[in-house]
Amino acid sequence: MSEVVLEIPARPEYLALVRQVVAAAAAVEPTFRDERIEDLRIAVSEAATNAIEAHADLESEERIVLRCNLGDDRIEVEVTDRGGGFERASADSEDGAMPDPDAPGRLERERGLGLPLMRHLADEHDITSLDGGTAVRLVVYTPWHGRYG
Amino acid sequence: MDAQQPPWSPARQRRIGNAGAAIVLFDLQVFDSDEWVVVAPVGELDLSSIPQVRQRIVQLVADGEQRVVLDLAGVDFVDSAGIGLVVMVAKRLAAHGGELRIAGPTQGVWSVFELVGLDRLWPAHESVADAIAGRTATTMVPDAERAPQ
Repeated sequence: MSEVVLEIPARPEYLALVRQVVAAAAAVEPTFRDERIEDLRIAVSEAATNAIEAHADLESEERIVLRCNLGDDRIEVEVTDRGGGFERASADSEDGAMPDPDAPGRLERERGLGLPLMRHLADEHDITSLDGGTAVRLVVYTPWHGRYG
Repeated sequence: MDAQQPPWSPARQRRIGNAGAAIVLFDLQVFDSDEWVVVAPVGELDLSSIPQVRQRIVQLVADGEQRVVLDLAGVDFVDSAGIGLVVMVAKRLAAHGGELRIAGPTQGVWSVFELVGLDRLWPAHESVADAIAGRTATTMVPDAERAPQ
């Protein structure tokens, strides 16, 4: 795999840079459709937004690390923060399911859509609690996925 | 140029923003049209830009504005933070007996609304003029087929 690493201050104004880097890393693989790159951009933006907000909650000055690995049949992106453990990450939504838009009180929810969007847009995702932080791993497959082996 | 359109060009702004440099442009235009106030962000709606939009709309509502068109024609990216902004605006207007209408989203941006089911709460209008007239778009115009603005 060829790895691209980006380290950013935990501030919202760096989100656009994160998205640009992820899109550029994915575009190295010419078979990625634009729609899938956009899925990845949104999913990574959600993970980075959660990380930035977690750092803000803790008033942490530490940086957020983004790693992009482009493989033969996938791109994997990992967003690692130092903003608290898994409880924070999983609190975004009870089970990560997309909320029912027809449910009573749906409009009460201005937040909590980040994790469901990540789950929906990425082909794989997992959230790992670190010592004092969280790592979110997102994977989007290329059209080559599953054709060999 | 359509009289309902503001005197700037989201299409040109997007071209500048996508030119490859890590320059992120965001602008917010607010103007009156008939009995409505049109709020038109230009750029990416994420954690870095929504405070500016939120503050402006909160002020508009505090000043007594009740009918708001959110013109998304110039928005080329939205994530859950941007969705949360729209939910907040709709709630705030509803609490004051007002109404929110959404105009001109690109297909890519609208697909995020569809993912979270908000298209069922607020139908998209193809343009500001359609939003004010209450004409609902039956299908979104593919981004590639949009007329230059």
